[in-house]
Order: sequence, then C-alpha cells, then structure tokens
Amino acid sequence: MAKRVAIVGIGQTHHRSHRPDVNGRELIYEAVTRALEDCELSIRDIDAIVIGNMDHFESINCVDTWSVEGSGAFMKPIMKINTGGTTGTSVAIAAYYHVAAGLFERVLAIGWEKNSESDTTGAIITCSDPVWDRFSYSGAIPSLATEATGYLKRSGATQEDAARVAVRDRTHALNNPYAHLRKPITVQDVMQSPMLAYPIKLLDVCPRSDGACAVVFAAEEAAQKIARKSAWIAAASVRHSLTWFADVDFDGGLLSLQRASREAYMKAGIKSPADDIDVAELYLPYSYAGLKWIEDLGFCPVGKAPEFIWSGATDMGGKIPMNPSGGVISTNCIGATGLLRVAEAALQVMGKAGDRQVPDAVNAMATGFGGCFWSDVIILSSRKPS
Amino acid sequence: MEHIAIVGLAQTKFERRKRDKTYYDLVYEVAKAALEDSGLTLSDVDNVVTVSNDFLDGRTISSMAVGEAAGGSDKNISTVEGDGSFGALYGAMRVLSGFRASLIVVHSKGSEGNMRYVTNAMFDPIYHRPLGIESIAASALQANAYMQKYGLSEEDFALISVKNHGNALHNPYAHLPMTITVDEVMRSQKLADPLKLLDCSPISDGAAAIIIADKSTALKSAKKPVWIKGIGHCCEDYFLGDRDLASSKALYAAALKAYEMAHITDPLKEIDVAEVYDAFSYMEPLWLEGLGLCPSGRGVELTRRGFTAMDGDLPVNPSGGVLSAHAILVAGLVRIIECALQLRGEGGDRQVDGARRALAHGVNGPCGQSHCVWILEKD
Amino acid sequence: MIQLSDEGVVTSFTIVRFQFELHPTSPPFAYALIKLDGADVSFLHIIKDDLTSLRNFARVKAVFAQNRVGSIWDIECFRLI
Repeated sequence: MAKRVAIVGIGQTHHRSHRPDVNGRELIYEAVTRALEDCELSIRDIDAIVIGNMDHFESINCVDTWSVEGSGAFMKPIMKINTGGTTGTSVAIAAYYHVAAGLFERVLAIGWEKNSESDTTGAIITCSDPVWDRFSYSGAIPSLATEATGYLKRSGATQEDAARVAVRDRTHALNNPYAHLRKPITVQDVMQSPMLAYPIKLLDVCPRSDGACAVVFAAEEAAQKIARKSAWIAAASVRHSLTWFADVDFDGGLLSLQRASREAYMKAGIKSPADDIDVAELYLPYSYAGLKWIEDLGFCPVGKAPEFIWSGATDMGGKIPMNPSGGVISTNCIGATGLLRVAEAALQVMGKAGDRQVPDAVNAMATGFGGCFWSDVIILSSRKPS
Repeated sequence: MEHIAIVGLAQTKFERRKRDKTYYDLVYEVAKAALEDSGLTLSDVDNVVTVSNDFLDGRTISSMAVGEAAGGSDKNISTVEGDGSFGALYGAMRVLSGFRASLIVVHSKGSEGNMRYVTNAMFDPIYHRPLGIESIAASALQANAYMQKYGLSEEDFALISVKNHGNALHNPYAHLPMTITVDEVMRSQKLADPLKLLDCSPISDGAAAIIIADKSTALKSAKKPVWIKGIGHCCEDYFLGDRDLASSKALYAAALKAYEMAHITDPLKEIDVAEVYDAFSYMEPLWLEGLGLCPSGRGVELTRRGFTAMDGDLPVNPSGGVLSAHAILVAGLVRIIECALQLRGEGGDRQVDGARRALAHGVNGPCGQSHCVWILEKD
Repeated sequence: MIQLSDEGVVTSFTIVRFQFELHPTSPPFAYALIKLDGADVSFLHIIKDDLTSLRNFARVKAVFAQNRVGSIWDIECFRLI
C-alpha cells in the first residue's frame, strides 16, 4: 500500500525570458539549492532524484546523466521523465511514487527549461505524427485555437471572457516575485494584441521562459521532522490517452482532465470542487482554457464559466482563487511549468506563499497539461491522508 | 519490499530494419503479446509506463506516438526516458504503491536515424559535442583506460564477443547469432582503437514489454510469477575526464542496494545467471567487477576460466547479450526478460538448468554513467 | 579561478578510424583525455599528429587557434612533445 508522502520544501528560479548568465546545469542548481535551503536539508539528505524537461528544446540527450553537477545526482539514483507539457506534473507524480513505494525517504523532483536556447516551435512541430498530423498542425497554438473555436461556438462565450482570464493571471503575477511577466494588462490590451490563430491573440497565450523548479518529497516520518507544516499528497492522477490530434473531440470537454480529476477527487474525498478546494494552480497555457477547463474540473456548471470568472470567484479573495502565482500565462518554462503548479499549490498549503497566499488554504489543486490534450491532476492537503 | 512479480513478458525479434512496422505497431505487438503471455486482460492493468527517447524517434514528446498502442487509454500512464530497466523500475514503484499491475513497454528503431548524431547529442554541448565525439569513440576511451589500469589485452575482450555471439545461436530473438573466433574479432574492421567491429554491438530495431503485478494479481496470472526481490539504481559523474573510467562506482552502489533488498551476501554464489549490458565486449568484464562478482581487474579471468560460459558456474548473457541484439532503451528490459525466462524454465536452448535467482542490468548515459540492477527469483 | 599549464599528460586515448560528418578532421585522428599540469581531472580534446607515437602518459601541449571566440576550438588540437 502507498506510504503517506508530503512536500516539505520548494525552490524556483526567478523566471525570465532569457538567462544568459547561467547554463542549463547552473539554472538547475539554482532551483535545487533554493529547495534544499527551504527545508534546511543538504543534498546528502536526498535519496533519489527525478528530473524532466523537453529534450528537443535544449537539444541535450540523456539529461539525467548530463545534469548531475546541477541536480546533485552524483552517486545517487536518478531517472528522467518526459511527457511534453505535462512533464512537470509527471515528474512530481513520479517523485511521489518513489516515496509512496517505500523505496526512498526524501526525493528531489526537478523540472527545468531554457527556452531561450531552443527553437521551441521547430521542436514542438515534431510531436505530431509525421504522416497524419504534422502537416496540419504547426506548433502548440493551432490545436488550442481549434479547441477555443469549438468552445466559443458551443458556449456562446466571447473573446472578452477569455481575456478576463488572462487579466486575472497577469494581475496575480504582480504578487509573485518569481513570475516572468509582471506587468498588469487589461481586457482591452488583450483584445488589441495581435491575432496569432483565431481566436488566440498574443496576450491570450503564455510566454517562453527560462526557469527551473525543485520540490522535495518526503515520507511521513521524515516529513514530520523536516517541515513544520507539510503539503500531503492526497491524490495524483494521469490521463495521457491520445496519440492523434484528430481523435480529440473539440466539440466536447477536455476528456483527459474530466477523467483525471474525477479519479483524483475520489481518491482525495473531494465532493464539490469549488467548496472543498481552497486554491487551484491550473496549467492554463492560454486564456480560453481558463473558461472551458474549469467547467471540466467541475468548479462550475458547463456553460457557466464566463459568469463564474466575471463574478470574481477565481480572483484573490474569491471563492476559489485560481493561479495566485500568475499561472502559465505569466511564466512558462515548460519542463518546470507543471512542477511549478505543484510547488505553488504546496506553498499555499504550507502557508509559505507570501504576498500570494490564500488565507487558511487547506486543500489545493495542481494540474498539468500537454502532449495530445493530456492532463495530470494532483491534490495536496495540509491534512494527512487517512 | 512487498511481494511484486513479473507476470507477463514479450520481445520482438531484433533485426537491422523493421521496414514494415512503425513505433506504434511495435509497441502494440509487444503490449498485446505480454498480456497474452500473462493471461491477464487490459482491464487488469491499471498503470502503463512507456519508454522512449525523443532523439531516437525524431519526435518531441516521443511518448505521444505510442501511448495508445501501449494500452494507455483512460489509464494512468507515464513515460521514462532512459533505459527500459529504469522504466520498469517506475512501473514497479507504482505496483508497490498500490496499483494492481503495471505494463511497461519500450521501443526503438535505430535504423530510422543516425545513431552517431543521437549519441553525439548526449555529450556536453559546450565542451564535448563540438569535438564530434559519440558513443563508440567515448567507449574506446573507456576501454583504453580499463586496459591500461589492469594490463588487459584486446584478445581478452575478444573472448567475450566469441562467447556472447555464440550464445546467441540459441536465442531466436537475437539479431547477430554468430560462430566466430578470437582471430576473426581481432581482424574485424578497426573503428576506434581498441574497438573493432566485432567488439561492438549492432544497432537493432525492436521492442519489449513486461507486466509487473501485485501478489494477488500475480497469483491469478497464467504463468508462474517471477518475484522481484531487489532493485537499485545509481549515477556517477558526467564529464569523462572526471571519472575513473576503469571502474564503475555507480554500478557498485546500485548493486549493493539490490543485493541488500534481496538479502544477498555472496552474489557470486547466490546468483545463478546474469544478463548484463555488454554494449561493447570490454563492458562485460568491467560490469562484472562493478557488480562485485570478482575483484577489480579480474573480470576477464571469469571468461578465460569458463566461469561465465553456458556450462560455467555463473553463466553470463546466455541470450547473447547486447552484443548480439541492441535496440537502444529496449536492451535493458530485454535483460530482465531473459532473466525471467530463465527463472520460468522457458529459456529453451539457452536455458541455464536449475536457475533460481537471476541478475539483470541496464545502463544509461555515456560509458555506463548510470546503472540499474535487478534481482529476480523463481517462484 | 586557477591558471593551468598548456601542457599535460595523456590519461586515455583512442585513434579513431571511421568516418563521421561531425568529426573535426579526417581519420585517423585521436580523442584524448589529457590531465593538464595543475589540474585534478582530465580534459577531452584531439590529437592529430604522431599517432604512432601516441601512448598513455605521453606529454602533450596545446596548439591554440589563430582566431579565438570562446569555444573549445580555441584550442586547435594537442601535439606530442
């Protein structure tokens, strides 16, 4: 049976569009040392490491063995997880299972990306099947634009509704000293920004960032010794079901998120997400996701997302604050992005989120998105699972 | 460690080019075959781990190409990028954490792409990669260091090629079953001194899958479970010049962990058969030393004395090893599969009689920087 | 920062004999791990000449490139001395 596992420390870099002052290893090192400092451990205390990024971005093969000096993996067990945009959450989940399996006591999860050293679009195009999908979809935006178009048609939502999501996340980022984009925007700014692929405009979508994140997972006994207040993992679910973009049902909801969240809610005893969850760090790579996917998560009924967003329910001080960190729309260092959702959710539960703290956060949700409309869902709690 | 077992397995034949199969086809083939082998159905499997490498597949998010073929639809599924033995370890962790059964599947098609570019990409982009180094030249540096430290000869290594290619004659899945002599190895084309063509593994296309299950699922499977008694993994330093290439401290640490979990105190006596990652001839003796099966520098003696031959005290690589079939990433999982076959008594013409406990070994990174060691036991 | 000598000792080498587009020069040439005087660990580079005399523990010296840009190729190669 799974051992109880908690997050006891986190570290992240100050995310930027370009970090010319560090190479990849040094970027990783920064996040790792901050995580260790956060929980007052030394690298010697770490029993195993899990690392992830998107290989083709930095163009480094076998990152687990290459990054040893930065990750601290010298004479330690290490493995690499790679699942596209969901890498960060998949890394977190793998680190969780390293401990839950009873094999390791303190495991370090690392996610990183140095987007400034990559031709991101050139690389991401090759994720599509070369025979069937590649010539239709170039990069991440087109498939998301298809989803957004389908959602607008079905729901009657408007581009302004989506823009309000972007405004929320960018406003929240002002409280997060680590966020990449820290200038406020308005709905008008979003509406006036250049159209990339209808209906996605420049300010609807995430930036490319250089950044790294490290999270320390610990077994129950170790966690109790390390952190005054830990973030217990109540549930972790993954659905990376699809291989072909044409199999995505753009007329329906995000199936992977619906399924992963249902499974996670069941494991964590969540009956009513908007009531039982106090804060959500959602992997929203673009604004329309902040409408459609919160319906898929059951935070509000289908078709009611725009109303829910405009009511302020997802703003700081609202019923269910979303992305107090500023989310993906403010920072996107892909291999780290999913892990940052987990890290930020953990900070909330641990009461260490500073200016972006949601008061009395007990249950927090973190999600990951990527690949072929895949989803990961993690639920953290300050209450130890039974 | 709780009782978990390998209950299903499958591998393709390894060959130069599988012209008629895509990655998807290969993964589907072995996933299906592993399920059939186990007598379980896809609904018994609640976790999937795919293993692939973006560089090898020429695909960012290489896992995307095969998740569906691996039975990952509406299931918990993840992807380890590295040798199959590491992917299988993650699958094992899931079962130890409460999942009923993990299906782990690995594939690679070395024929589709330029392996030298792929291995060159493992090397540091600032200090090493511009020098044009790739896996063969790097391994040659390791072989040179190993020979220098212990006074070994190329003939010593040639004996391993002769043994393993000969063993492969009994393995219907092997890419290069061959009867060769030391002389033929010595006369084979020089690639990078001291490595000659017959010192090197081929590049194969292929795939493999295993199913790891918890005790109650294992007891209802069609085949006798092969119990997983110990797994250890460990990684050493990265820059070639920082390492003592003639020894493998990371392997030793990984092996110690696996032995401890399996309550092994005298591996040489307690292990009946071993499948180690001999990507090059010199690697077999080097890894045997790293596994603590003999003192440092004495690995080649085990071969010379016939200790590791099919009729020896501890047969090593009865399958023919990686020298006889090398689908990158897959080869580590195949070591586990071959050991499981031995313990089930399904080794056919390559069966080691009475094998009760086996050791399987996989490798990640240049010159065996990171290792994963498995100890398996018969039911 | 520590200043190292431009001379050192070969700790391992291999004479490469196969063709590969990314090779810096036509085979035969050697990759060598070289422990520069003053260093604790070895450093990877190439040796192009006197390959028949190349041995472990041979002393070598760096040959610097005419134009240096801050790349590993600011060293053109090492030569036996």
